[in-house]
Amino acid sequence: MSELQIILSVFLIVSGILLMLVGSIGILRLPDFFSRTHAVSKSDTLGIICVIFGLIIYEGFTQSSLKLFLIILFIVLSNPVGSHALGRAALKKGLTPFFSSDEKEEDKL
Amino acid sequence: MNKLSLFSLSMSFISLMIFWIVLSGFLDVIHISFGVISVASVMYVNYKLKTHRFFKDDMDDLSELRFGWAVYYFFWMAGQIILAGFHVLNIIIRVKMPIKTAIITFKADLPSAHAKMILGNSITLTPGTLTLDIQGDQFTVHALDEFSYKGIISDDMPKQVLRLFSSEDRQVVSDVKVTFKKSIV
Repeated sequence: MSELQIILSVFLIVSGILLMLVGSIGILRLPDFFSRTHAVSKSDTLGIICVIFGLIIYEGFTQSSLKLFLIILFIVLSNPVGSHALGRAALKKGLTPFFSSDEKEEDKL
Repeated sequence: MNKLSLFSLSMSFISLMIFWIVLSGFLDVIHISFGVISVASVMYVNYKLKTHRFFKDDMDDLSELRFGWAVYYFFWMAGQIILAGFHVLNIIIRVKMPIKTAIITFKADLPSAHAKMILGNSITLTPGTLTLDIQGDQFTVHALDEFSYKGIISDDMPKQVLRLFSSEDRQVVSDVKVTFKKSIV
């Protein structure tokens, strides 16, 4: 295993973990359900893809790295379906989204 | 109910077989024959599901998809995800958190249900935008701020999706309505 391989994979895995950390902070900071869905599903997906890509580079071209690539493929396929289903269910149930423009007007009054 | 073409059947057999070989890793006769048996049973169980038409303009194989553009679209999409992802992260870690949430409704003039599915999935996969509903041609999208939905209303991403299926170059998005206030929804 070459030095470059290790450096690249460590860089990708650490940045993936940082992305997931920021995604988790986003769940706490953002105001309502819909914007929280953005933080959870998107930043976390990017983080997981970064971590798995780092593992692929660490592993080199073997059967395990093909399996890891399949995991990336299934995450990319299933994640938007899941978050769309959550958002659609919330909208159908009558949950009104939070608009940040409304809040600013209330501040003025 | 309609019959599946031989092309479609053999394509799903080959892809499932590749999946089996990647997961098992053995290339001797006994493991491959187990694979053939499992793939055949999976295809038998799924046959009714695959012949069922959920939409009028459904298609049973990807004969309309232009594969050269599909490869280009994959890399373009990956770039978009990374760009928009860092934008959303930047919003979250800023102390002021400059979000301007909005709901966008628009009509998309796309040739088939699959094209709409690809557009909806791409919108959801791009950080900052989330497809809430698709009714016919009418899309409802939730966006975190202006940068996130700029690519949709400027007809950038929908045109890329159209290019996957046909060579014509026309306006896809129409009737764009951006809502910032609670009263209109």
